Amino acid sequence: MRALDRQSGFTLFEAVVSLLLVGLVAVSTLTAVGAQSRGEAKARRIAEVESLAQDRMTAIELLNANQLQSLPDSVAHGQFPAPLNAYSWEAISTPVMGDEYLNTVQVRIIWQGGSYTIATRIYMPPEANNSEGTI
Amino acid sequence: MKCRRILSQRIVQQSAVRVRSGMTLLELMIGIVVMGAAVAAGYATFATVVDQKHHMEKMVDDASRGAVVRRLVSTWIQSSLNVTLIDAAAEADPNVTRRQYRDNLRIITAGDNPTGKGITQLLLEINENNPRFQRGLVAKFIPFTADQQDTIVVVLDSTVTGIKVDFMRMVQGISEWVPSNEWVTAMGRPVAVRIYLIANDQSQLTPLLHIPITVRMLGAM
Repeated sequence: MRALDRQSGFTLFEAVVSLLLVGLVAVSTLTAVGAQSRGEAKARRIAEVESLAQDRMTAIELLNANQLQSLPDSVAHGQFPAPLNAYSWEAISTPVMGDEYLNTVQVRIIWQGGSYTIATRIYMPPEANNSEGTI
Repeated sequence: MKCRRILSQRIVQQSAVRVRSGMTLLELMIGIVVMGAAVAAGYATFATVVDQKHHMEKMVDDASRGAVVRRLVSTWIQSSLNVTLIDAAAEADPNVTRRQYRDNLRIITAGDNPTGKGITQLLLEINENNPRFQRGLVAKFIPFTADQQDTIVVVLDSTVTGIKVDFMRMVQGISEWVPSNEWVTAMGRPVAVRIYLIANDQSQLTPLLHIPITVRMLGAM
């Protein structure tokens, strides 16, 4: 009977525990790799939309006082050219109450599943720039 | 005698049980096949994940590099005292293709720069011939000192092979973009600068550099 007690090989319990451990390690590793990939995708998205939003804000800063009151269509909304055509933008300029030359400007970069908004205030009295050019 | 026979039979049975420990060939084969299938599936998944990770890292690098180039060029030009055009032969010459634009810029900037010497001359140009540096869009910082050894060259993007610049000016209250070949210094300090970066193979260009870098000069409006 002692020989029976000392027989080699795994019990079912040992096999299940070892499989569980291997499974846990595999799932944890894949979860970590997935989280890292999502983080990288987010970093890339932020770098792109920040630059695009700044580009659109610069276009608005080059407008004159009249255009700032009513943004031209080409500045108010549109889609970026390829390879950034997954992004489009909307821009809004609203006068600040109490100061007719001060405007709150918002630029919103939109992509499928999300958006990113930056905002600033632009002071533009008519005499500072009364140009009628195009941007 | 009968008892002895029974006892000896039990001893033989126990020996047989002891000998049976371990796996049969069939069990071993099944085990190897199952493990092989699991390893193959796991490796395929792992290889796909690694490929996707490398691809994503490259895209992040590209986006970061593009954003940094845009930000640096904007900062240098925005904080400049003057921006002048060194070479603008591109559109005037019908033999020059779009990819061969060479609108090299000289920027006198007071912005932060690697020389750490305050007001510095910055040449933004395409490097083709100097084997010391990587080819592409480079920024050469030349401090206003007698020692040319202080010159620092920063490679901004090795895929860029051409620069095209437009200047915005104000004429009687009307703003207009003037292409580089029509721009003359007598037109004064530009209101804004728009820089197109061009590559031999546009698909190689970092996505963010496909959008022209537009910089409004501080204090110009």
